[in-house]
Amino acid sequence: MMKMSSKNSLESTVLQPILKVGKGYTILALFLLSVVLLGVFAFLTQLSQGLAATAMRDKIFWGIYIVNFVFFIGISHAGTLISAILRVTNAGWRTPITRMAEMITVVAIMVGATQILFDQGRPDRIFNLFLYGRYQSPLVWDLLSISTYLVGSCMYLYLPLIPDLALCRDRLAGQASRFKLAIYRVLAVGWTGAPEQKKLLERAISVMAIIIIPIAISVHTVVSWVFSMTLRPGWNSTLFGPYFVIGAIFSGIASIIIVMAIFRKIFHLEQFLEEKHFLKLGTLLAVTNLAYIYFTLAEYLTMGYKLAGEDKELLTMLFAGSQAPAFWAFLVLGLFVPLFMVVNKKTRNIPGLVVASALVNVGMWIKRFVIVVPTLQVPLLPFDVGIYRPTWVEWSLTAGSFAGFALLFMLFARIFPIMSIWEVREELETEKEKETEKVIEVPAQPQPKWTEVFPAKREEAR
Amino acid sequence: MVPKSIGRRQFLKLMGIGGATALLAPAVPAIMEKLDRNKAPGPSGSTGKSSAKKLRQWVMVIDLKKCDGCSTLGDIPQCTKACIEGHMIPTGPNGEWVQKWIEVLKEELPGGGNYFLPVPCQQCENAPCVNVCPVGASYTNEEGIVLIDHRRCIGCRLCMAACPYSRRFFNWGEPNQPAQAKFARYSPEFPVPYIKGTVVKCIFCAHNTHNGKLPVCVQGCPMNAIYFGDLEEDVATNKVEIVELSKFLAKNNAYRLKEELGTQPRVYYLPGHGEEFRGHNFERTKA
Amino acid sequence: MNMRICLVALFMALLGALSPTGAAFAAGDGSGDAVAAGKQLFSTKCAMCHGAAGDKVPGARLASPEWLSNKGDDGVIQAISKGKLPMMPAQGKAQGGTLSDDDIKAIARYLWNAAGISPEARGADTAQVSPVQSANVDKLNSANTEAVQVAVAPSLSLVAPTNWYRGAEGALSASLTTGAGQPMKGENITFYLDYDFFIGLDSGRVSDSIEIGRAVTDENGMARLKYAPRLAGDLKFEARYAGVTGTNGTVQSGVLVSTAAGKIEDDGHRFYRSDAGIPMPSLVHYSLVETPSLSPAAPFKHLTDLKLPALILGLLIAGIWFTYVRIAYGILRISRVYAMSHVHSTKESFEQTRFFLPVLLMVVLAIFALTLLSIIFTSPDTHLNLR
Repeated sequence: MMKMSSKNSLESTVLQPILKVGKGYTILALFLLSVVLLGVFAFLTQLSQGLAATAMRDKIFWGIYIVNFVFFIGISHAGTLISAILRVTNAGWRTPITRMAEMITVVAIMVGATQILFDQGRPDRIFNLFLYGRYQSPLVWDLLSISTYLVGSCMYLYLPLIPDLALCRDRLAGQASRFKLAIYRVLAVGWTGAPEQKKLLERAISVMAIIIIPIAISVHTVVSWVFSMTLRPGWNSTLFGPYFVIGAIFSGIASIIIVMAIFRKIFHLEQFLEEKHFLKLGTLLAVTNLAYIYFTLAEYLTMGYKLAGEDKELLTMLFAGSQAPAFWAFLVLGLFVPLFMVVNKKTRNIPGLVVASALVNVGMWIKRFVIVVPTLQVPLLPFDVGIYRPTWVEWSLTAGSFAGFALLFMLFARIFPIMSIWEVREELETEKEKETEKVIEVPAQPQPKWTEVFPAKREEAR
Repeated sequence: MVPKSIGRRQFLKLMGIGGATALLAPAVPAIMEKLDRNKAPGPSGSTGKSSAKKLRQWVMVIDLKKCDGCSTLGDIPQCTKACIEGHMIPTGPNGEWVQKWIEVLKEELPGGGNYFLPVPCQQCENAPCVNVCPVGASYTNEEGIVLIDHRRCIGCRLCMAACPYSRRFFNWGEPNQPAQAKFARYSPEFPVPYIKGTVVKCIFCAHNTHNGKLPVCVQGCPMNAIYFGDLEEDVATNKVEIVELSKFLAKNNAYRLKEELGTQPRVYYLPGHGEEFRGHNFERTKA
Repeated sequence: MNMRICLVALFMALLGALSPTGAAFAAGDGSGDAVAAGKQLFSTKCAMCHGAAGDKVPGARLASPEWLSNKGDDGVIQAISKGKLPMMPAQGKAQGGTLSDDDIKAIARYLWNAAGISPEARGADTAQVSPVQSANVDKLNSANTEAVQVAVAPSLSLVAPTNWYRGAEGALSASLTTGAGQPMKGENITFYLDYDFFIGLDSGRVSDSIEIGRAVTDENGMARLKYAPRLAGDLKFEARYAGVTGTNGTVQSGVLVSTAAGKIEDDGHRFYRSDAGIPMPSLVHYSLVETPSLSPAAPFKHLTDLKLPALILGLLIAGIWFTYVRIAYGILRISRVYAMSHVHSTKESFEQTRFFLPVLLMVVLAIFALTLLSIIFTSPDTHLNLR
């Protein structure tokens, strides 16, 4: 049972990182910053040498930048699922998780969009997409959908943040820095907790929650259509839209579990992020895991049963050829081992779930690699196959992106509360009321004793 | 009615609308201009029309009976060589061929043996590369040639993914082109000098055909195996003889590569060594 | 009388031996040794590339009378001596080959003989061979068996239709008559069109005669070919009669050519239209690949170019972003609740309690939405071949 925490304990725990952090935080932040700077250096190298600094060539012209792009956009589905769907279905246990999930979404989309920037041959012409964009092109669908989703997620992050910002503005006056206080004041737009304001906010959040769900589904659908609008083996599939969406939700849940576990540990949130939250997320993880296994089976069985020309080459490469290690690693470590770990009682706890989620994320990154690169290794005309070994530039940019992802999170945690204080408080109070109702079962008026109502009968019976 | 003095609500509304108009006003002429210039890229100022008066619909016919990969010559394929030299195509650091806009491939015959298949850009009518370009840098001009405007290309390589014949090439680094390439005046019909980070491919020598000359691969083939023709006038030539295109294709069982993909390419092949053919699919050339 | 009949009979016998059969290679040219030597040389030196029947190399139609006549005797000898690089090496001794002049002449004789062209008809090197008018041909005219008399050679005349439009079927008629004016029935006439591809700069001009059809003469000696030209302008047509034995027993030789000029008007009709894309039901005929509308040009071209998918997508994006702006307006109202309540309770002025962020947010969202919509509605046209 959730312990009944006092208001102060919740606030002080969650607001603590804003005021002060330990040495470990600083060291980690500096380390991540150095990795990001390495990525910046690699990008500058790439800008001067052109994409020749990567291992991509005319045969295999999309590499791990695209893999990273799909990966990050994939895990950005975390926020939507948790916040929006669980809100719409009135699942109360979502409240400590929503803020982190929404943060994952915003940061992941931003990092994912930069991956596309790294992949352009002419990044200086990126605005041509706005000046000359063609709505018939899958990349423009990406632009429309991802920008809509980014803005929507930012708003969906901001709206429930308003009461917490007001709280910070009020509680931390005099303790936090002037810069932070100014941010709180501006962003809180005069929130006082007045009933009219509450009503307006609730309405706004509900509307956002409803429209953000189809937008999120459209995002990874159009990302998948960049591949499936081409005539290449493995990509020329009608299943890609739903396949990618399920995969995105799957890896998104895994990311939330990892982020939750990390923040729980370093910010001492054990009181509020209990095992039951992890277990519920674990159930969702298992469900999407099964769904993903189903889609993977549907995809490869329909290909493998027919073995049309180029498909046969692709599947040979995946099952028994040069990409077999990657494929089987994804299948076993990324799909079946996590499923087993979630279902099995012995590993159905927080450490087990974190390990399973880490395996899922690694497996899904490998899966995205298996989608992008082997298809390009199947020659469409009789010529030699290409090889692809990513260079240090590509690996540095990848590492820099992941470091940037983590760093942005850390910065976020220093400015904004990483749990939605007012929602958690509301949820705690709702639960307290329910509990109180259960304990006091006797109604308000005292009932008369039976002997007082029918004294004579009793004595007569004797 | 006496107009009331403006209230706070209305004041805010006005501020908002005024601010929005002030910010958006400069964008309106730009948008109107874009609506006017809603056309494909091309040489500056034009819509991509050819300079010749007739409207041609270019087509290429490659006679596989005659092509032997220049193996009897004991030399590298002359069509590829003519193309690379004629367009100053970037080569590798040691001068090796990295971009073969027309590439002669050696295919196996089902019954054993080989034949040679020169593959240029197929200039598809339903070109997947044109369909997916996000900025409209790849476009089909009125003559059916697929051109690229390298001033607009952002280097996303979605067109390379979409091409089912792998006929597009990318300038990954600074292109290693001959010195005289720098003095050429750029146009999509003759895309020299080449630009780092953009996509290139065979363009049926649009610069030549607009000036009454045959493509360089047609000119350079010693076996006269490549015919270049016009579907509108129903003729084709391999620089030695002229043939009536529709009859030529019908008589020789012409076929196209990967017909089932629906790209409707403009390059026909005349089999002669036992290659598969797809039957008579050139009703398009008849009136 | 008897003597004459015998003479004529003897002569006829000789002729019978001489008559070409068209397809098979036969000996006999008056100098049978030369032809036989030529045949031997041909089979050892030439047949490996050109084939035993001389038709293996496309472009070198050694068995075709027209092709040989085009080249002329000199031309044939030159071709053998100098070769045709890069495919055929030179054969003449002077050019580094192995054949002497006599050898080459013998091969040439063999070729002419096999095609059935008499020595007299082998001279000209131009495309136009004038109708054969000579006493030699008179000898071959067997219409009159009484006496060998000088007769006029057959004549061929071609007439092209007038008022001819590009793409319209017109009838080219060639009439073949004997020297005496009798129509010749059942003869094969081949029709050609002289074409100049790439009319323009000299380098690159290719000129050739394209065979456009064949027809057989009827009882009136008329051979008609229905032809729909795909090009316009002042065109030159040719009819050629190659002198194969006809059913009326005459033996002709040489190639009769008759030219006619045809003026073809162009009404701007386009014959070749691509059908890429797929039609979808809608008010305006359109497709995913934007095939052109079949209706005449509408007054506001840009608005009718608004294809249905663009419209749907635009409405969708507009709807979503309008919702965003409305939510931003909700934030504005939240801030105004504060402003309203605090102006009265504290001494802060109205300006100090207003927040600029919500208004800024609405403006930024609106601008971004308009940018995205402008992408959709002003997409460049990239399928000019479908217009």
